[in-house]
Amino acid sequence: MLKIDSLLSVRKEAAKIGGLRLAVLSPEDAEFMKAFKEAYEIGYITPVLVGDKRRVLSAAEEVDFDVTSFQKVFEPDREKIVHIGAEMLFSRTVDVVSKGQIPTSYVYRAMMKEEKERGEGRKLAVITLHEVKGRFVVITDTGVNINPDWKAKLEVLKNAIFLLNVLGYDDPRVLILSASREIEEDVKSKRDAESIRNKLNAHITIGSLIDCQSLPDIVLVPNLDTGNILAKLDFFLNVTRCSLLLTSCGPVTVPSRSDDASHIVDEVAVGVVVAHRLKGVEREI
Amino acid sequence: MKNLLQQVFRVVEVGEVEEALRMVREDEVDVLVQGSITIPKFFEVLGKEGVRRENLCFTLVFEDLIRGKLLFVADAYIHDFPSLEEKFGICEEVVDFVKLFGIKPKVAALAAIETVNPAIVSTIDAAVLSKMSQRRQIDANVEGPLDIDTALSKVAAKRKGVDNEVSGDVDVLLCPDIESSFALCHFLTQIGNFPVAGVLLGTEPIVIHPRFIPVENKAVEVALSALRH
Repeated sequence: MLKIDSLLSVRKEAAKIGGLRLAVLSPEDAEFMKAFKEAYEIGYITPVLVGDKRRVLSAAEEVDFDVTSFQKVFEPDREKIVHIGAEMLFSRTVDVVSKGQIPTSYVYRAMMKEEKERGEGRKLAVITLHEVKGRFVVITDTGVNINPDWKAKLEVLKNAIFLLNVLGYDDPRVLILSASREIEEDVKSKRDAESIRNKLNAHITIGSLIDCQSLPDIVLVPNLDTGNILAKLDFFLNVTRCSLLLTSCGPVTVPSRSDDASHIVDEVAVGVVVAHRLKGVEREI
Repeated sequence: MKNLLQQVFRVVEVGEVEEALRMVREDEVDVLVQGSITIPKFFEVLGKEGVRRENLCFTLVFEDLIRGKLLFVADAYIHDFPSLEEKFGICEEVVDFVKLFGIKPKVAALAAIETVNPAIVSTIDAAVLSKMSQRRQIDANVEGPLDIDTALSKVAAKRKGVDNEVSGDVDVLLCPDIESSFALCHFLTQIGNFPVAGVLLGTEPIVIHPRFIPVENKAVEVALSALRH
């Protein structure tokens, strides 16, 4: 299996896969609509538009995107929009869901509910892929669990290792972050990390980046504040970020409301590749 | 070697940290630099001499290579999960320090999201600090809660509807806890290659040696401490 370890390899594979069905929730802002237009034109996706009729159509018009041929579900209520999206994913009507201009927490809640009722009951977490120096570093959980205990973090980590296995990594190297330091060695994050290491047969380093010989493949964070700050380091450093929620019925890409269109296109491409590989679709690429 | 040293510096043989601390307190020396003693042992002695850890704050000064300005991050070493009261103290210390650079500090009280969520303590603390600044209880513009993108980017702040004067021109990142500040700082140095030096605030000018600070920046750290004198 070809190893997908950079955005270049993502873009190549997504273009070859071609036309997966993607439900986009509330593409009600020109920047978002521009991204889905572009993703459609490159051939990554066939969009299904879910959202407020007037806003969706006006955003499409604003970016000169003819949406007449696409499936559209018009619904003004945001809580209902996310449930429609979750339903589509878990009934496999679509391959990928992407968040548009809608609060992330609504999306998480709807997906968690659906995962519990109709999926495998996985512990959902946001997985952020950063392209750093031409290769991916995955950070998780960057969006759902506020203060997870070690068992929850173990599930989160397993989920990320699974994703990287799907992307063709045999034995991803893991860094479990902990602020254990000279002045305070015994912190909860370190004890949690040790419990996790005892349960997993994986390449695990505990500590911070300076404890790693080279950049790790996966960084498991101790809490939400840390995860969110690290996830958006692209505002600081020369890195590119793509975030997704991995349910047992497929990926949900979660662009930040502040991402620009070209960035969202890459996030869609990641969703397409992950969805395709998860399904193990027997199609020649 | 010792003779050579004595030609350049005044060498005083001091056996104990207590004695060295007395010298800095009585103005016989300007800055105390931690020697070969370990950090836990050093802090133990300082503690016995009345240096209270809850009043301390370790601030990192980064040279932000992308935006071309200095960026201060606190607290980056001393507190694990500072209470609101401790965060207020940290904020005051950093603000006083940053003013020494002739900067009127713009402070972002960071959290995971830019709105207040009662389930996320950092958002509440940040909101309170922000309100305290509005009420002039802190002599700086503190804005929060801000997530890292709205702190660093004016465009992001506008799109998320939290436009303010701090976003995009931030000087100080006030971190919610040690896990986030430690991780952030290591990413900035290891991935961003931002030069960094630290300064201990809330006590006499004392330079400490956490292992993540490169030895070659020790001279800068002495200078940072000397600034406070």
